[in-house]
Amino acid sequence: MIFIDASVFLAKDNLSDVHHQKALAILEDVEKDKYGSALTSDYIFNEVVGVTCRKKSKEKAIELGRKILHSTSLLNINDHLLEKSWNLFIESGFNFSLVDCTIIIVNEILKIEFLATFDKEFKKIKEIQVVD
Amino acid sequence: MFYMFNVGTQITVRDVDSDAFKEFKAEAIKRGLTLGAALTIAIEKFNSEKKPKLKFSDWKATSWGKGTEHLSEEVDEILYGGK
Repeated sequence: MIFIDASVFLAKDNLSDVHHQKALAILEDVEKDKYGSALTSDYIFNEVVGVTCRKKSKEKAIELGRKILHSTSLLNINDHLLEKSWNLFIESGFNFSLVDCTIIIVNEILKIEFLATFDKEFKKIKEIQVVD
Repeated sequence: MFYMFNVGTQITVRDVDSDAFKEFKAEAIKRGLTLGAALTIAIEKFNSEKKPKLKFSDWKATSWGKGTEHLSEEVDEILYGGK
């Protein structure tokens, strides 16, 4: 199983992004089932829409949001996942955002082996195999 | 006269997160459901979720223009003021 981070969706949709070609290759492998089933979360969806709105336009955010909704399974961060993520956010020595902590917790609980991201911070977590 | 009863299936499941299961069990009790009934509801919900239809390869990418080249690396900085 592979979890897809906001950075990969943003790079995939933007030809100008420095990681565009890498995002294409990653998602091509995802489509070929190289990593098993793929998913993201509602928090990541929110990040993609937020960044796109702020840096491009609301229209582009809606367009990209629709693509994600129609192509990727979305996991809802429930109370249980949020509580665990919040505790990790408080206790973690690393510089992770709360959303980053939800990724770590989801990967741990669902036993997800791979994380598609261009965020180098995740390479510090030895239990997570970063795909970039 | 014969009656047929759907007695259900007995299953053993490995690798269930213990905290998630505790929360699930407590919620089932709160709603007056047996574990089997609550699990059946959860399974039906899972099965009914729409499978994604759009392929990643069908996404049409466009250039977002100058100044957007590093957006994929700047998500936290843009939304939360950096790491």
